[in-house]
Amino acid sequence: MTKCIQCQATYIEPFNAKTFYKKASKFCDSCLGLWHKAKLSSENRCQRCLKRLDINETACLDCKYLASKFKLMHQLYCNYQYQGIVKQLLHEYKFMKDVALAEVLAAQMQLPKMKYDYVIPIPSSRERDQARTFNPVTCVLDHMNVVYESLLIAKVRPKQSVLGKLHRAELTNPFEIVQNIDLENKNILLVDDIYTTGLTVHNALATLLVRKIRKFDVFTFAR
Amino acid sequence: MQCHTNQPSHYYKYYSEVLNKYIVYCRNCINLGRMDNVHSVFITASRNCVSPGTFQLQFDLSEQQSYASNEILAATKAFRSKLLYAVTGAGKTEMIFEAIQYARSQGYNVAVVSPRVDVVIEVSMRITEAFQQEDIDVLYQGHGQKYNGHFIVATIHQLYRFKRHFNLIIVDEVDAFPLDIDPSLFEAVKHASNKHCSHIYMTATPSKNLLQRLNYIDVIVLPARFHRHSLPIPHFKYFNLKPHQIQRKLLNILRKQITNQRYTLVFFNNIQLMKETYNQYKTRFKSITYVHSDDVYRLEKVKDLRNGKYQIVFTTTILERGFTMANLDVIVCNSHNFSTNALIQIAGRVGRKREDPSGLVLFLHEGITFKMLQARKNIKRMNQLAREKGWIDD
Repeated sequence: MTKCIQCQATYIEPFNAKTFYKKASKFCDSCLGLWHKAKLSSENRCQRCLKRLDINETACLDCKYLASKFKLMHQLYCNYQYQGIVKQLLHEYKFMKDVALAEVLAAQMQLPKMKYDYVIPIPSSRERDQARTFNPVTCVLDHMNVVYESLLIAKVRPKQSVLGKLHRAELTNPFEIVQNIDLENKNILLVDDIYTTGLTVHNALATLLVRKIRKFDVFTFAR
Repeated sequence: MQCHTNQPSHYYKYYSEVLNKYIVYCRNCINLGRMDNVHSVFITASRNCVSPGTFQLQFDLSEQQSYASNEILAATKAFRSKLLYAVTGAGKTEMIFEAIQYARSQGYNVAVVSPRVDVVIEVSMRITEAFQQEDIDVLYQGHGQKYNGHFIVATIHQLYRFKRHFNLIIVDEVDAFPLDIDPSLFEAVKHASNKHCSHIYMTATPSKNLLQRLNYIDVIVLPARFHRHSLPIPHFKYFNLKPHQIQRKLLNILRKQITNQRYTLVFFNNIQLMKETYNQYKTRFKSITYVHSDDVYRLEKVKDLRNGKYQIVFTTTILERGFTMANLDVIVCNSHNFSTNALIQIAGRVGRKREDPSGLVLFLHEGITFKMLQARKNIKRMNQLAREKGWIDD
């Protein structure tokens, strides 16, 4: 008998040849089913930013637009769509401030298996973190036991989620580098919670590019 | 904490690097806004204010209703608690109006709560219609407070927001989920009550557990429906449901329902089973659909059903309470898997309107269970009791 870390229901994991060499599951079957529904499949999506493409859309318009302003990232890694259980959990986690859910998210997230020199979380402004009492990105990374460098800080800015696409594009770059680490020719993974337009990560990228990094990937919890 | 929980598992502690200290908060009531050890809580003092509390009712109360109404009024005056054990369709909501009027005219704070959102919506419609001059706060899922909380209609969780405030709390459908499995919600009622407070609990199917919990209070038994007709008695029929084929027996029953121009609810106890069966029959009937609790179109479908768009609805137990409509019959598939209370409630959907006081209640089973017999016995006993009191005519 184990307790599901998400719904607190008790469940029994079958003990057989299939599960014998596996780590014990932390989730009950119905919660796993919900996560499975929100899985992001890569078919019919932009290779780079995983945007779902229209039937007659060959090149991703978002990437095209971003390319006109920024140097593009190398690849976005993301396992889940921002809908269903993922949307609900992220909402409860970020807005209702249910920090216990960081554990749940950490158990479901898997960083890309590539080797990176630095993992850098996208910061929120200090004021927002103080109001929230935690940083939603680093908190999950802590639970995943990932070593990361908080290289960036953010200035105060309006919440991205209340702004439209156009408004977001007009904002100036809110990020600054605070630590002096040699980034030349390094592989970097940026981590954020939700990827929508890509403007946030590309702003952060523009800030970091000054340091001549080599490869630049992005990981987000949901897309 | 606003929910007064003392279970350690409800609390979560973490180290906040932003504030450099440990933070503890409660996960049990986080939906009402997080309570922790860093943010201050603002409490407004409980006040009482007098309003006339007049109400309009289109009809007169029946003999039974006025009897119950007087009992409740007396209890309110004396700050005593009562359990109203009234059969389905007895007209419970109308019985509380007089007590509410008295309470408001004395400046008492009044709360009408229920664990089910559907019931809250239905009851709030009837109450706001009757008490048109009152400032009534209707609180559920994102409906915020407009007035000062002297008269609220709400889901029971909302009581966590009020402490020692109400002088009259009326709990409708006390035995419904989640109140039946979460006794801490009774604590919410306790903490929301003023020193002088009367509680009125209303249900059609009090569980043993509930009667034990409330054994200190008097029970008012109301065995008759407001339209003075007896409750429909369920019929049993053997039927082995096979979800992967069309079965003539069920098909014929449903066809007969359509030719008789009756609306039919078909109850299932399993969503998967219901969907499979639905896929078999959907081609045979035009006005057929299904609803269950996870259905996003649930509210629309129920509304369409009320407007007469669907003649046959496959449903799980979500429609077992608080649903009223004329010319309605019910069929329960696999009734051997249902509990006594669910069966009584389901049977109680039928014949609730004055213009259509009876109908068909059919339990399709693979073997009669004790629970089915108990449900039927209970309904028959209520009918007999009502006949003895002279509250029904047939």
